[in-house]
Amino acid sequence: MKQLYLAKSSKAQMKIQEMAFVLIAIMVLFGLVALLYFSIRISGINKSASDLGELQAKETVRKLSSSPEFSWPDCDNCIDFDKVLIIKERSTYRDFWGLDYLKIERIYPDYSGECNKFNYPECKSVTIIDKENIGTPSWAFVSLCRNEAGNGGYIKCELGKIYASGSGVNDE
Amino acid sequence: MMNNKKINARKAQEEIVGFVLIVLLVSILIVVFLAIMLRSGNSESYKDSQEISEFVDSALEYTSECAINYEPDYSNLGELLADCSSGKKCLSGRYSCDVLNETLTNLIENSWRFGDERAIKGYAFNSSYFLNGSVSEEIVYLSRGNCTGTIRGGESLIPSYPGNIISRMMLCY
Repeated sequence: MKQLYLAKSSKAQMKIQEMAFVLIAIMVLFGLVALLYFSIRISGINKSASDLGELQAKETVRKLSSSPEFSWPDCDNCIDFDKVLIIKERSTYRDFWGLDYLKIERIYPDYSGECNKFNYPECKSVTIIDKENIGTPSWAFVSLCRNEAGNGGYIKCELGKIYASGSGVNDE
Repeated sequence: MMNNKKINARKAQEEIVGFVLIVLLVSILIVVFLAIMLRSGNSESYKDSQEISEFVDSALEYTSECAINYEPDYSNLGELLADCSSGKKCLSGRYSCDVLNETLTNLIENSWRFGDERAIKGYAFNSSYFLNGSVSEEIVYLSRGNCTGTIRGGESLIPSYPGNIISRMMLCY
């Protein structure tokens, strides 16, 4: 009688053990699935945060292009290219915006070389600020407008980009 | 003795069935979870892009080489859309639509790099005249490559009485 009781008890223990192992295996499996889920979610949140940061940086660059120092009358998206060249010549503007890098580049028509008083307007870019360790600049499409002297004088707008980098742009 | 063996075998079979059921249940849960995750990832095949809207705005401000009334009153591309819609000719003798298509293609091709081996596979640009909220006339349509993956797009509106000209651009990734 006692032997039979002992045999049954050990069988029950085995069953409890089996059940415990199965439960542990299921818990581990669910744990792994949860880990996978949260890692995907967290990477998504990180991406959203970096996207938001990038958007804010672009917004700051856009605001910069409509500041009085660059703006062209009656056009939200336009930069006065003549003003840009004058600003480049003035060293007081180097620390005016708290930027490490500020460049305006003409995309089309395609010219080459940095602009100066002698080759303007047949040049590609005007670099106003270029300090060390600029990081990755944010940019925005703009229209570069200027007074063209030929054909009796008229306003000519071309396609360009404004690049900016620095604590004021990237850390917002 | 034989009876005991049979009972034990049956119990073992029941346990195996139970285990298989648990594995099946967990597998189904994982498949459902993955399906939901993948579907939510693929649902954003089209995204609005501020960058592309900015490009369209800036491109429409571009001063073309086409003057309709007198030189040097050169039209910008926004004005040229309306001129092209009316079939006007430039003083140089070229059709405004030809100048528009050529200039827009140059602007787009100089602003992005396209190709099968590049991130951006192609593009589509179209400008249409909208009257009372529906397309009345397609003024210009330019495209390159195949748009099968993710698309990012932007648009710009120019009032042109009595309707509006809406220009849309899509980049295909």
